[in-house]
Amino acid sequence: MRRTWLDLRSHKFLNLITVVTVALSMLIVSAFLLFAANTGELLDSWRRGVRMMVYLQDGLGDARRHDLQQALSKLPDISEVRYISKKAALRQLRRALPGQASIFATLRENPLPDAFELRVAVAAASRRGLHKIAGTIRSMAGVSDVEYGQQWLVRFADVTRLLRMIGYTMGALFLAAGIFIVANTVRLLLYSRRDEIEIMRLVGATDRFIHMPFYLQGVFQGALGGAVGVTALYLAYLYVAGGFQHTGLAGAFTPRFLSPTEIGVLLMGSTLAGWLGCFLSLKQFSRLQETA
Amino acid sequence: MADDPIIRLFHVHKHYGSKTALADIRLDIARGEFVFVTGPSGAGKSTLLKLLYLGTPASAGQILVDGMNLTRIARKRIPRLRRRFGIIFQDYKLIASRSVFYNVALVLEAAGERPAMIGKKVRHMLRSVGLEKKADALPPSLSGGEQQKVAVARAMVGGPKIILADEPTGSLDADSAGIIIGLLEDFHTRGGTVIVATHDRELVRRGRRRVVALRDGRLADGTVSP
Repeated sequence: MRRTWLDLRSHKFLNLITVVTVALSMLIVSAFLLFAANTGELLDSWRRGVRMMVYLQDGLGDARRHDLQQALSKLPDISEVRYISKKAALRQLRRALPGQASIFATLRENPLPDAFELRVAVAAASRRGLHKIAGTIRSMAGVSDVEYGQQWLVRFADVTRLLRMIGYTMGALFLAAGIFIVANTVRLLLYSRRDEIEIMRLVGATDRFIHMPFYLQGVFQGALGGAVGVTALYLAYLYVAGGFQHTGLAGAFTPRFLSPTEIGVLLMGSTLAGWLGCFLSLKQFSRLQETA
Repeated sequence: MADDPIIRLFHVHKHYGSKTALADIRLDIARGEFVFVTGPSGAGKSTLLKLLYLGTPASAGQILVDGMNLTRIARKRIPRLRRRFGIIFQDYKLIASRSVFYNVALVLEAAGERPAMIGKKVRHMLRSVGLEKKADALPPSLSGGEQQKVAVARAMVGGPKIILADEPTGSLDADSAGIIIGLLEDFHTRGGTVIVATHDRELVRRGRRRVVALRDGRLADGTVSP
């Protein structure tokens, strides 16, 4: 520990640069993780509200409508079936458009069809799931059309998935960058101290004795870089979450910060990156010394 | 077993590329012996010492040090071999950026000595070479003689069995050289084995010890054939 502290003190600038760079890498990795966690929860909250409208053919009759309702209720991915008559639909429309009374006054007959409003189970609220359910219902007798207004949700889910993939890729790249940066710092330290290391070997120091301060340094740089990165992300989160309160989404969704487990995984990851960077450099250095 | 030589070389050769540094060296050095290895520059004195602590491997032949066969030694046992030696290098090999205390303490730290004992032993050692007041100084701020004393203190502090000294008085004035040789004599008196490589004929003459002379990489005299 004493030798590690001496090393850290005598190469302050190099160590500071390394910690800052690792912190930036970890900030980006953890930002993508936070984005993925929040968009996932946002999508789930929206999926819980996915509804599907099943429009019925004109003059279907009560008996056939009843049979259709039974059939819809038995579908595995439908959690609720509610009948909306054409009269009720028109009333709802009038209430929704109070400033358009003149339009409704000119109507000679109700143009709206009878319909069922279905609530779709969360598990089935994917592009493929919704498409499959709609196809099944369209093939049922008495159904004129099926609409689910959440196509945008499906597209959003696709975009989110793409962004998440990009995020994971970027995360992996930045993690690799962190390993590379620590490895480079340790390599610089090793080369600047190669005479000292040679002397240590000559007086009987073991590889473990020589390598230990470098490992401690790498682990310290990784852990501190990770902690600084996550702290910076938390400050950014507080700022963004404060602004989120004033948006239309505030009631429906509250963005969350990383869980203690996720923070723990990130810190362990950055510490491991520090260790790995050190390991790679020491391995290369030892190989060069043996061949020298 | 106590009569077995502590160092034994059987037909040892050392080549650097096409150049022969040592050829067919056969040599025994007894426990507690004080030996001068002499010869002109380039005779192979430093190479001979390097072979003993595996600073470089032999090209052929066998070397035994305190029961360890250096031709077969595992890499992880080399530090243990080197801790049997206290080595005084011709160019001192002190860590310039670290204090005198740190340089001497390094040997004990590497051997896993307890911190409390390290402080005690290093201070005692620095006192015995007259450098107790220079403990915090950096080596470049010391004179050549003082740096050599630090090197001697470092070589002795770990309680080695053998001291290898490569031109220990080469760049010193007569007084400093006398002090260094006195320290080596003390170590020898306490039962330690000392091997001094030197081309200083006066030092050898005054020492009245066994002389192993090298010329062009070959033993000239003083050889004990195994």
